[in-house]
Amino acid sequence: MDRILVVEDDRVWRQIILGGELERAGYSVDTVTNLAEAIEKLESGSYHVVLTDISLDLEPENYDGVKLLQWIREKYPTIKTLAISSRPVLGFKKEFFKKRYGALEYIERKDFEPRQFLELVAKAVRFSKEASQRIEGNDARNKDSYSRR
Amino acid sequence: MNVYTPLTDGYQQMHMASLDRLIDQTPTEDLVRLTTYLRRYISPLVTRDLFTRMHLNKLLQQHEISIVTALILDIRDFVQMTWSSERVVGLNAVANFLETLFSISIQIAFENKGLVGEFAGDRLLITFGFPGPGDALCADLTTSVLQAVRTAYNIHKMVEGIKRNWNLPQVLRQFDIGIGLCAGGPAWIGDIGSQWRREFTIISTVVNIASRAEELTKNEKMMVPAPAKKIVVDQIIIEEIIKQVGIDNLSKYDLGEVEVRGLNRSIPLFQLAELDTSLFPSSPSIAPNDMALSTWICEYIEGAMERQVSSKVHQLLSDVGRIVTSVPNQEITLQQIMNKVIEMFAVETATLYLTDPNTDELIFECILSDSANPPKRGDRLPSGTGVVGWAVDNKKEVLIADVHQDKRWYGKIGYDIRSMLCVPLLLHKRVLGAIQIMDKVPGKFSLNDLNLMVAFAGSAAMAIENARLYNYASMSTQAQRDIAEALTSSLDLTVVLDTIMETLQKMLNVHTATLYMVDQNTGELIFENIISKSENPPKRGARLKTGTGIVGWVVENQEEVLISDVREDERWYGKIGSDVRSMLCVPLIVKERVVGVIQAMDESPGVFSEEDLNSLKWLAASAAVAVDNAAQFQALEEAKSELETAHRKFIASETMAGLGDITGKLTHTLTTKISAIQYFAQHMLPRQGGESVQETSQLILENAQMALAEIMKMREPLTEWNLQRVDVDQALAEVAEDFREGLESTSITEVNIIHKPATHSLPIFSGKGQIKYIFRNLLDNAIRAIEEKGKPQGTITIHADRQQMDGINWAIVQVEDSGIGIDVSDLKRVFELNYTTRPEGTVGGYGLFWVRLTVERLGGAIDLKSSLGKGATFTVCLPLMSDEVES
Repeated sequence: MDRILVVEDDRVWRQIILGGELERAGYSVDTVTNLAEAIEKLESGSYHVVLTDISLDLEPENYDGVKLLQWIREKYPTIKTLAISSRPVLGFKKEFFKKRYGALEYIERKDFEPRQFLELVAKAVRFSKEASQRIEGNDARNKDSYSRR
Repeated sequence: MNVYTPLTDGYQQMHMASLDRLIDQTPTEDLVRLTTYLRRYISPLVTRDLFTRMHLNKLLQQHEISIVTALILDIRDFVQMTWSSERVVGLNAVANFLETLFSISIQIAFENKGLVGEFAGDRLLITFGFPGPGDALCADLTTSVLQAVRTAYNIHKMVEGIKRNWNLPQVLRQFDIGIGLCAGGPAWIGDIGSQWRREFTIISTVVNIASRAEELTKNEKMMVPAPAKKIVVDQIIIEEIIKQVGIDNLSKYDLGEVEVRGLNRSIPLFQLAELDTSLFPSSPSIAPNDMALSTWICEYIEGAMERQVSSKVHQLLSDVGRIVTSVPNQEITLQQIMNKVIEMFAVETATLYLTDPNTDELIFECILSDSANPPKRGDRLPSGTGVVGWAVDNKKEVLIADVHQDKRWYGKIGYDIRSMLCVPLLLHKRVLGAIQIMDKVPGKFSLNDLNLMVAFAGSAAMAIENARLYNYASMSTQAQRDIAEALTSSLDLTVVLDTIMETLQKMLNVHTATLYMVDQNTGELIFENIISKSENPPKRGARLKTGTGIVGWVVENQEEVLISDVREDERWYGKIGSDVRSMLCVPLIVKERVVGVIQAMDESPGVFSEEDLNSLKWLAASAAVAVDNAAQFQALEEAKSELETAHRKFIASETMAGLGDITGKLTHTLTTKISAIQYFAQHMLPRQGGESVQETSQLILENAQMALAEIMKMREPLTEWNLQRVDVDQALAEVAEDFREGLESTSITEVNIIHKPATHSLPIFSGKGQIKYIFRNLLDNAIRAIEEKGKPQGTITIHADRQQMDGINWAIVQVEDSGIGIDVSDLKRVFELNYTTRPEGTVGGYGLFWVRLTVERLGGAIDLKSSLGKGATFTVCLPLMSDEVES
């Protein structure tokens, strides 16, 4: 089963909106409220996608969500991330953010639309799986070359 | 040597007690008189009689005695005899002769209980009947007459013996004596004279008549030749002798009525012939013990007097000693000393002066006087004034019987003063002052008093010095305590300096003192604290250039100075009171650095001593520490205060940023919530189906979208402060253009927005969002005002221009609308939070509030002029970037 981790401090959004939509779509969902719990979950289990709340009002690096995105990209490159925020930003800024922090998408809460959202998540899961396979394939090739020797 | 012990001689304890009582009750001068009488005039027989009957006090009475008999003895032709003897045998022989004659005569007189009075050359007066009636031995006229007659006869016998038996030179053997007797009259017996010389005196007509009677013996023609004696007596003597021996046993010769000079009357006188005095009652002879008793009584009295004086001195000294050791306060000491003096000498007026060591003036310290207008304590006399001045200058005690006859007498303390005793208070040859006692009675004070006072003054001087030292010590302690207290209770430099100056004033009693601090940067001297009588003293904070005056010298040399007269000092600057003469100046040194100077001044030259300088140095040391502490504290306080100011500024500058921060969080939360509502309305409710749900969801959706829009609008001016150069007119143009487009697209409202371009560039330092936010809101407001008129047609005129006010260039933006206007009473409230004219239930009430906040944050101001129905004009002033900054 495809596994999703939701990091969100607002109870309604965490359980009902995000958690609810994902479960109804048949995902295996874990929810946590902060950075520490998120890291704990990520260290102990494997996930395809992490959905995290970010607050981007001032310095992005100061926010837990942003830190989490950076940490995941370094430590678990196969996990795909989606950022969700209350802050509306212009299109080019959104692209800049995604590139910089490695998030697959920057979702504005006011524009939240369930269908689009689930499509996004499905895409992210697929990307995650592809990435894993690529890495496994590399590993296998490495093994082959090793055994052939 | 006679060793006489009265107790073993049968005298009882009671006699001793009586004598002691007499001594206790009798003033010293009377005791002295008593012993003089006992030694010189009184018969030992009388003495013994009076002593055994405890009547010695009778000898002290100086008054009339009712009946006496007087005997005058004179040597015939003494002048001739002396003259002859001078050349033949010398005057020594004459003196020896007289000595023999008189001593035997006195012996005879004493045996007959006579009172031996004056010697006047060759004359001797003996009185009988003393000390008066009531005495068993001298009870009456008869007794005294018989004693006198027997004395006269015995002396004659003695003279005859001398002439016959003694190996006298021929020239002296030719002498003869004459005796006059008179009885039955009163006499006054006592001492008369001045304090210089008082003499035992008998005043009596009886004596005068006896004298006249004796003179008759010179008249050979009148005298009956031997065997009649040359004894002339008056009628009463004759009568008394006849009473005693009978008329047959007396042979007498009538000399007739003899005139007595000055009496204006004649008295019958008689010459006595042979008389058998053995017919008289026997008279006791004088035993050795009688002489011894007399001597013993005298010695006893004198011993007692000595003991009395020494115990008085002892008592006094011990009292003073107590004062010396116990009393901490000089004033009390002086008072106690004077109380002792008054008590001791029983005088009316006593004064104590202390000398001023600086001026040598005499200062009244303590005066006990019954005068209505005594000198005040603290009054001063120039040195050398009066008797006191003399005593102080000469370091000698003075005893004056009558000050009116003394040239030194100053005469200002009570005119009726006569006696005076003045003793300097000496301590190690240093004169501290003088004690003076005075009395209206002339010659009141004796040499004893003087000696007593001298002894007393020595102790008193010590007491005063002690008190002074104690005062000084306690003052120092007090000063230390004051300063320590000031230091601990207040680290405020001003308070500490005030305390130091107060202490200085107390310790040195100065009228002018200054404390300077040294400016560590410029080296200037800063007046910190000044005690001055001057009406126009330098102000705190006034400055002196480095090196100015004596103070400047002290700072540069780090040395204290003691100047007795600044006028003779080249360093003297002369600006602080031209009447300054004496000066003390001490640097305040902290860690080898001069931080300030204390200066004490006086109008008289030579006022300050080394001791004062030491006091000031000590004070300066404390002050230096205090100043250092306080300065450090002050620096700390200043740093703290700076920090506080910075913090306040920081908080002030952060208020808006903080507000932005909070707004950011708030908008985040609100957006999160409202987005959730939006989600429910949009995606959850439709899934449930049904018409009503559709309507509800629509409502939720609308509200949520509205809230979101407002929140987005609000966060803009607060959260995005990317400050840059923004042209006001350009921003205004852009906003106007946006609105025109918006208005055209809806075509609901016909509002004409007229933008009059500015004639200058109007650069301000702002976030572009903020400035546009202001204008957008003002235009929003203007359109709403026009819509509210009911007829959605109108004009908005916007215009920006440059204007100079208070030296600052401003961008003035005016937004004028033809809308409904605002009631004058509401004008002030327009910019407050939650003020709105919109119907209830709609979001609003903070637009203009945020506008005002934003304008103010940009350093500008906003104003509104309007009246109901006549439109409104908003004026926004924003500070233009200065040209330099711009370039």
